Amino acid sequence: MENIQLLLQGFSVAATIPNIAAALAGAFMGLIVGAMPGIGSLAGVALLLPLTFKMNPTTAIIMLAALYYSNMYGGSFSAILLNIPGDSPAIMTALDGYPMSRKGKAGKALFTASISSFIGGSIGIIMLTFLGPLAAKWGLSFGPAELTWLIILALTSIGWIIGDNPSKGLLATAIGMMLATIGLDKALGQPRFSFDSINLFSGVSFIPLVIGMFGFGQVIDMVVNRSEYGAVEEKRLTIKESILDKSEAKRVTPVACRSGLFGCFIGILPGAGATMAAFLSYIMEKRVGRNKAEMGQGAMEGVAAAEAANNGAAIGAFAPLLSLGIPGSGTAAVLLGGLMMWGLQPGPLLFKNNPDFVWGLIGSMYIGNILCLIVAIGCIPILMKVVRVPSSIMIPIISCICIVGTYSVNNNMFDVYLMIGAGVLAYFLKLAKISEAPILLAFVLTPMLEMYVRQAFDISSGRLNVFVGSPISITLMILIIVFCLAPVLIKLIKKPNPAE
Amino acid sequence: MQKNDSIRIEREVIEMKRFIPAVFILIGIYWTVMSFSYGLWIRGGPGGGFLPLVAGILAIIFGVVVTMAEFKDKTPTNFTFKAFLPPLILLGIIVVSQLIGIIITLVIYIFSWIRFYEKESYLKSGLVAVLCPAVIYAIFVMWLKVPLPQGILGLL
Repeated sequence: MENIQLLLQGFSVAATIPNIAAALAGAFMGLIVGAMPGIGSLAGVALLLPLTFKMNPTTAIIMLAALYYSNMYGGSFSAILLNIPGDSPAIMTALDGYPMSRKGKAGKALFTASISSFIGGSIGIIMLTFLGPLAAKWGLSFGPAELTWLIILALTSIGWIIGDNPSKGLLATAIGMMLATIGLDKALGQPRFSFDSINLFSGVSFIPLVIGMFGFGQVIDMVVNRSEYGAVEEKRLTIKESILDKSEAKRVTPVACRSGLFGCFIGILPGAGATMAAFLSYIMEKRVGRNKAEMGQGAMEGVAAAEAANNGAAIGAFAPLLSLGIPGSGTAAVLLGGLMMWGLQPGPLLFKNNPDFVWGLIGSMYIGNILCLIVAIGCIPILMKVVRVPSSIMIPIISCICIVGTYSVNNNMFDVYLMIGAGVLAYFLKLAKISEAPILLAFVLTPMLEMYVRQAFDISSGRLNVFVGSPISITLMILIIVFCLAPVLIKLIKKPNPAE
Repeated sequence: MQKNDSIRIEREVIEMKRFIPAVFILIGIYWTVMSFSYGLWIRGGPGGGFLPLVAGILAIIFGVVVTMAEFKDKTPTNFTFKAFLPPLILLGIIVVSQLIGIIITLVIYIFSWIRFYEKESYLKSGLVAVLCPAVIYAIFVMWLKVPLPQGILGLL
């Protein structure tokens, strides 16, 4: 009850013209930054941070927070329309979003992504309002050992979930893990597989890899298999006709609700992030969803699961940031810097000492999330024109975005070479029918795995029993065993269908 | 007809499907061997070579499984050397951009591709060649202040 009163107070702070204008500006910029490959929310927030120095702290954080979560909306645009994920959480969106787009359902895919992002974000905000400090404390019960098991669960599931052939999926996972081990070992200061190249000392950058494998790999495929890439006849150009009908809404809403809730919990965990949330939600949907057979070939459920989860996680990351002063993601770490720059000390006392700031921010999230949805849906008719552009024009345009987007990450031409190499690798992998998505996901998760394993051993002075020391660890371990054995056992038990 | 024949010959000469996973077996072996030199267990925890060892072994195991499965599969691979055209063009763009800057290079590339490779009209080619780099310039250079390569023009 007290929280509702404080929230109403927060609304009165957020609903002023400067704060609404700040949320709207953040929403617009977040959509553009999210849709641009190479510039993620981290770079977007970092670039805007100095501009907010002279602003009122509440207005400033409202703008940056709106940019952060609207970035998650924008990341899906380029993933659905061009098969280039704007940021790492959108990799999972591309798996179903782009096939939907190729089937002439770009409008439906964009609407599904927007509405799922809104549902996921709303669930995250409600959780933050009522359970923020409590949830943040729960998140802390996930130590390095628990997070190690969570990542192993994700890594072992990749192969079974993505693609038709588990062996190929697991080979792709191994390739991603190998790529992730290139560069300086951050804990020991030891270069690995860098071949004495100064450019490889800091490792392989994620953005060139993702742009190369998805974006440039797509360009190569368009040149080789031209007949498959004719301009899509997208007749549904109006917002009205992109809106989901009753049966589609029935398919999408439950998926978005459970993925949003799940994503929010993952976002609360320190260091887990929106990518892991999107990926684990996708796994969950592929395991338990009603339309699991269609996932990966253009299912609305795939887009809904990924988008709701990454938005839920983006909001969830605010719970440990505000109530404990612990950033849940890289972008949250930059926001933490911002809070300190404005003279605020995040932690349990922030709610007590600066209620106007905290509740103003939470209140603005409700408004900002609605603004994001309106802006995103308003963009759909313009965005759908992209799929009508013939491949003869799309090829040079995507190539240019790939070059400039990659270069802009580190202002280094080596990244562009890396992107070209990743594109060629993606082409060869496509020939062998090996999916690129497990490579990228393993690439993101492996450094986290290495860090958490080391932390767990450091905490326990090298004892192995740290990994079975809590009920969460044991539960996750059992889940891993069940997930690994289940497909094999089901295959053995299942009788062959004569019709097949 | 001649074009189809040449693609068919390429398919017969290089059976990529079997070759690709086999390459990852070799890379996996390299990763496994090198991992020992980085140290597997250091100061009561995993050393720099621990995860490369795991990754290398996984690549070998699943590389072997996939290669063996591909030998049983008789469907041909759709490989064509045309796939190397976009990477070669991009490498050319990088070289030329060092001389005349990336924006002008992109204008030339887009116009040439659409007009001469795709055989579209001069108007369409010119329009896209001007608009696309202009949008890129506005977002990346003017808004985000990315120092794109300017080549020798940057010295003027």
